Amino acid sequence: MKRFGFLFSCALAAATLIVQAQSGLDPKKLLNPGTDSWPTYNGDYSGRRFSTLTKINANNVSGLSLAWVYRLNLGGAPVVGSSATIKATPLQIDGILYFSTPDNAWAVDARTGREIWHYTWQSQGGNHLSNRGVAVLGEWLYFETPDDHLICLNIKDGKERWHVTTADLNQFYYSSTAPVIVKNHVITGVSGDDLDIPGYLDARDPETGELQWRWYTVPQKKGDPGFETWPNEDMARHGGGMTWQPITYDPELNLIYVATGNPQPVIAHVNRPGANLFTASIVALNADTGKMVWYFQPSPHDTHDWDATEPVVLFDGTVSGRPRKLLAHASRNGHFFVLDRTDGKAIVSMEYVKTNWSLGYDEKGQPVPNPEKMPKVEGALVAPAANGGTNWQPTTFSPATGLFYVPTSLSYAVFYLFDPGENPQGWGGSDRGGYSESMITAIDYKTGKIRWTHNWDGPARSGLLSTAGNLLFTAGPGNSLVALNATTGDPLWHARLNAGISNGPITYELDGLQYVIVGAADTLWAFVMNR
Amino acid sequence: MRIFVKYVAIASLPLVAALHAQTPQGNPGRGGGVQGQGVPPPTRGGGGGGGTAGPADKPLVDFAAAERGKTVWVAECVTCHGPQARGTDTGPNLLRSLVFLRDRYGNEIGPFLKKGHPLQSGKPATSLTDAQITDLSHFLRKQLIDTLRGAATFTVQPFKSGDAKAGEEFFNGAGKCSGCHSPAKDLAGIASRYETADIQQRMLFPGGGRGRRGGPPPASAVRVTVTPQGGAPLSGVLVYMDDFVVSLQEPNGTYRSFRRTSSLKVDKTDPLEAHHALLDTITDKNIHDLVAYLETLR
Repeated sequence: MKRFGFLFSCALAAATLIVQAQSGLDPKKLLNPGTDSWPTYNGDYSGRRFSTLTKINANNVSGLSLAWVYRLNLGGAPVVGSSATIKATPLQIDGILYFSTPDNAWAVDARTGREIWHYTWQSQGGNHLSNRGVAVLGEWLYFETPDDHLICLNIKDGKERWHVTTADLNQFYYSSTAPVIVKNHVITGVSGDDLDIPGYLDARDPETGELQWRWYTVPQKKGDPGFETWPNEDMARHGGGMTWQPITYDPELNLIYVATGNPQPVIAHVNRPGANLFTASIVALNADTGKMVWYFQPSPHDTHDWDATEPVVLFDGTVSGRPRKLLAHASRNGHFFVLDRTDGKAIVSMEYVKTNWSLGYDEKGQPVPNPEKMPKVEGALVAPAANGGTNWQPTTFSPATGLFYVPTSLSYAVFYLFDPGENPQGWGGSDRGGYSESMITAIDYKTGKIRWTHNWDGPARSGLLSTAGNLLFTAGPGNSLVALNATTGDPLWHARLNAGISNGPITYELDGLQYVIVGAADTLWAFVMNR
Repeated sequence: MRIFVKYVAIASLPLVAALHAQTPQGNPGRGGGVQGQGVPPPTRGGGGGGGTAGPADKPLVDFAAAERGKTVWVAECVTCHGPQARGTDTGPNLLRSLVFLRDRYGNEIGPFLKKGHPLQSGKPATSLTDAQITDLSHFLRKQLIDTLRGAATFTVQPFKSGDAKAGEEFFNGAGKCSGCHSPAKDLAGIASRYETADIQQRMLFPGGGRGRRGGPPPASAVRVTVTPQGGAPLSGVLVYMDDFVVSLQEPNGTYRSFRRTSSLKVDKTDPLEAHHALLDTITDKNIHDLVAYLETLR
């Protein structure tokens, strides 16, 4: 009996340990995440990707060392698209990392890189280009699949609780974004710009997956807001505007900020004269109703595949001596914007990289497109290329330096119209060829002026992370993870990895040690400061 | 410092690759050139797996059936729905029709038509045979595929360029092209070797070639000279450089790498610098005129 009692105690202790280790995410943590976790796509609702941790800092980063490496185990499943590429930002909750690739989700020990569980969804198709990550609430994990399902798993063992359909695969929708939990809503987006289909953002019930509200990014009928910026109902209803950047959220204002994708048809545009609202826009929605409060359109009537689905970053600052609630966004089209996030009014509109396609700004601070630089049958030389001055990769804002950092490409390409007819569909054109230089750009948010630029000697682009240790973590050329001095841009440390960095780095503290985690293709790398 | 990067224009191109069963997935064969590099005209396409849009069971297109379907289309449908099924004032765009997008070989459009949809000829829709409906389904799916990236039609269309005389003036004047190039030497006959759009691309974005494996590096290769403190300079073709390391290959084939420090002098020479700099100043008119001039060099 004694022996049994001892075993029982051991079993109980082990069970308690597991329960402690995977006790779930207290929703309050989403409002005030500590430095011991990274509980949502951006680490917090603001999208700043700034950590107050200083154990790794500009003075000691040269001693940063490898803690562990985890290489994706697909369990024998074939690699489909990027199902073996980590574009997701992992969440870290109670010492466990949770992340995903198309059709797959994992839990991995944040101290050791040991796999705890792996889940595979049996796919019915869809574009396997990307998956940006998972959301966790309580004991449940949520992620989206290329074949348009939202899946709910138990975080303890990765067992499926339920799945629901979020979009129609027949219309070539796919799903790649990371869901974000806002109160009792799971906020999910849609992807896909091959056919002319409308984008939307959904709020779903965390318990059942049932739809709570849906906001269409383009007018679905005559009279809807923005309808006057389309030639007719058919073009408006099929106008594109995908929602594949995870949302940010201001709990005080109860506003969700969503960035929307390019209009359809993408390059050939003759059948959609007008600004094409609310594509290529930043839109504030009431979190409980999904009703639009304001919008700002970085690319009115886009014709270059410049979606505005780059990060929308929230912070408070002082502009012209006044404290302001701000929102900053470096758009794919090469322009940087700072808005008042209460009403969407522009405070700063400024080029952050060479562009040649606009004729100044309108009264709202939105660029005015130059018709001469729209795609032509004979080609038009445009900066930036379709790939953009920046893209989906996370930017970062450091309140310590007051700088907004952008993974930047200075690029040129020729935009051709392939379908010169009166009623193009889908794309109808493309950019070709190209010249590109990669760099990190540090922007003073108060003025939009570039404080410093760090040029790379080769191609490099990844998500960014800034810290109170005066550091900026980024991809460098040659598959490098690089730490720059956040104030000056000077390179301080690097490590060459197996592949180019494919996600945004995160940091957290466990057991008094600060870690930096980054994904490079099929491998998750953990670095730690042991000193 | 500028690095030239040839890249595929759109990150998510592999779409139509999977719609053509015989084309390797994820490789639509696009890159440096412009015309004629697309997917070869398929006889049958569809299906395919990962990295692609649409459902896994997306219908295969039988192009012979699509051709037969075209005959039915012209006889019964084209007046209202248009030659490409994109709609007219009297009939909707079928490429945006959910009935069609959910259709598999006629299983949706068949019952829809037979409910009494009017036909151009005045005959009842029930007169359409099952085979004709299947053919129509293939015809419509082909129209859809033709709108996708990677389709045979998804390429630069033939175009006329600008004013050759103005182009020649730019070549010898403001463009400073004649400083390195000659219509009698390196550019002789260029218009016989390349299509118009290829000439345009090669002029704006040269340097894609890496030279033959084992052969000498191309003239466009970036050169670097590294001088250690108190040491002799070493020169060669740049192999790799970042903030921390630089490596080169000497003319005799020796590979060397160096840790970059403040005492290591690094001088880089990019023979294509003038081309890169031109991008900041050249106008679209200059481009088209210059291409028109180059087109005269046959």
